[in-house]
Amino acid sequence: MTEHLRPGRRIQAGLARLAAWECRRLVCSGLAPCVALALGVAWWTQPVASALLAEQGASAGALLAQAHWEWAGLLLAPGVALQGGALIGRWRSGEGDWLAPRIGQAWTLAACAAGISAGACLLALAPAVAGWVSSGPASLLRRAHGHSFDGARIIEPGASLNLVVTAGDLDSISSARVRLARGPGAARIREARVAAVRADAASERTLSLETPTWVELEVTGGAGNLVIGLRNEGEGGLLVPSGISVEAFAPPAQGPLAGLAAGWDPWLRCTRALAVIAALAIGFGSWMGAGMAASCTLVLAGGLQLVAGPHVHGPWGGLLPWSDLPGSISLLGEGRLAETIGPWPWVGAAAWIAAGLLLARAGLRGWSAR
Amino acid sequence: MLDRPPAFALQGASRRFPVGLGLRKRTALFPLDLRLAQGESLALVGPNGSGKSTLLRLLAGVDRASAGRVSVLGGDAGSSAVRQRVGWCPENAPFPADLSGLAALRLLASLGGQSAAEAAPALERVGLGDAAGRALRAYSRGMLRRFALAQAFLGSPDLVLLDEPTAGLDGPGFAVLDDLLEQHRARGGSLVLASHLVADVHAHCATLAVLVAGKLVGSGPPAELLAAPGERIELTGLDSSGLDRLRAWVGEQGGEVVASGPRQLPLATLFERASGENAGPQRP
Repeated sequence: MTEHLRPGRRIQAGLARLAAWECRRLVCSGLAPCVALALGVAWWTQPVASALLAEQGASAGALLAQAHWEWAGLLLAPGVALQGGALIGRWRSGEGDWLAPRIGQAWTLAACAAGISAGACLLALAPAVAGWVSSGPASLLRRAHGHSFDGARIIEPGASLNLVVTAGDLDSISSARVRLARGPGAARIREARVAAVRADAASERTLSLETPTWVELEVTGGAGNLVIGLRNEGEGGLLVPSGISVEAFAPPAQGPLAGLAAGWDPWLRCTRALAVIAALAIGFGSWMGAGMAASCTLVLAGGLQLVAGPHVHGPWGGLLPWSDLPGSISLLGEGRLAETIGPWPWVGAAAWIAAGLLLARAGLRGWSAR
Repeated sequence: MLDRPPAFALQGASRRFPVGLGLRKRTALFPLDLRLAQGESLALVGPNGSGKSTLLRLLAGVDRASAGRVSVLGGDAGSSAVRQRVGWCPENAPFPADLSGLAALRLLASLGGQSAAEAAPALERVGLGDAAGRALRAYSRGMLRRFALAQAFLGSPDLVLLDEPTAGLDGPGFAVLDDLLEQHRARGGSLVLASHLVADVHAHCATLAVLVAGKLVGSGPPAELLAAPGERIELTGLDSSGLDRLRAWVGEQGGEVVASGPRQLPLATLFERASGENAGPQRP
């Protein structure tokens, strides 16, 4: 059909105007709540976070940045889903009367989805700026690698366990950490020795293990595998739970814009997730009402995240392009950044967006009632 | 000389809408055959709910026929080539209320493949030049109807479809509508007007089609279709004594004066006189 051909320059300009109009609609309705939320989180959460963390030496600013993103997610995801879910309903209740005689449905869908996504990008700037201001301008450690070890085991008193991390991108790491917990019934355990060994250099730390905790060690030396050695120097069993993860971190990036990463890194992940939510909601919206479409979208995305989110890594992360967002926000709360964003989540997001728009196209026989 | 395709041709076109869960269907338009040559004009009349708007929506490509064929200007009503040659003024369309009149018309122009620069002159043509910078939500109903007319005639389309064009139109709007229709006819454009009031549309159209309950019950020139026994005359210039003598004479001849009353100006003329030349539309 002719409408699938590339539109002329004037129509391209029209589609850009249409996208800008959709963007403006979302921003106009969502800007005030977003800014109010950012200010509210800053004013009411910061004193509480500071008081709670004063004894632990953790960064209240980082926790505040995490709070900004979590509250923004609770506001933005339903808002964008509602805006997307209402799109087709608005067409059917009259807007199609002036759209249909001018432009094909496929282009209109694409332009409107782009506009809603652009609006979501702009609204997500509020938590991005607030989070960046909270966490401060300093460049943050970035997680370079995470490795999980399956199978729970208990290290007996005096025994050792070596966890060997082999990956190709360990050359630039500067620190590593592992999460340890006391074993059940091991009330007498007191001491654990953790060592990071790499090439011929090693660093080690002995700690009392009262609660499950991250143990972080500086990693020195050159290339090669990273070996985390655990030695139980207490009197009870030391539990190494199944799925224990060893994380390696690269040193803070240098450069004039490196300090902005605390803002733009979660912003990129958030806008990618919101673009997928918008497209899915548009798709559901062609088959049902706006509220139901938004609910279906959020239940689908949330359900998949709960069921499969923890199990998709690497290229498989593209299957759920929003799955890295909760982890990266959680890591931001510790004053660190998640792994550099690879291409697969973007490929996956493009596929989900295409699926959402195809779903919408299938439900849209005409511009009016089905 | 090559034959020009008709402005539109319907062959057994019908439209049914699902009701409730879609298990039942309501027929808004029964299978219909109708055709209009290019350069001609058609008035669709009928009571509310007779299927006039549904038929116009099929022609505008807003809706698809459930069965039959709808051909517009020789092509499919939904194709982009045809869309760009058709102007459509729906009865109630929620134009982007948060945009200014000019920005909204620029959006509509560029989506239709026309130059956005045509928007400002189009607003001037319907007398909205002074309100171009105001948001559409601040327009009165009459101004919105003129805006709807402006977007329908944007880019000099070959076929213009107007749904209840006089509904909600303000005083200057009637003159605007007359002007636009006159220019459109002069260009050789085709026209379809739909209204439930015959008086609103039949003066503009050479052909009348009557729809009742989704069925075409008659079509033809208005003079033939609306013909009734007897003849109607309008008189002026007689004083009351002259009128009394005329009534008496009519009675003597076996006739009857059905209605009489003082002569009145059309409301639009009164508006124009009262508001002066500045309030009228800015003619090109």
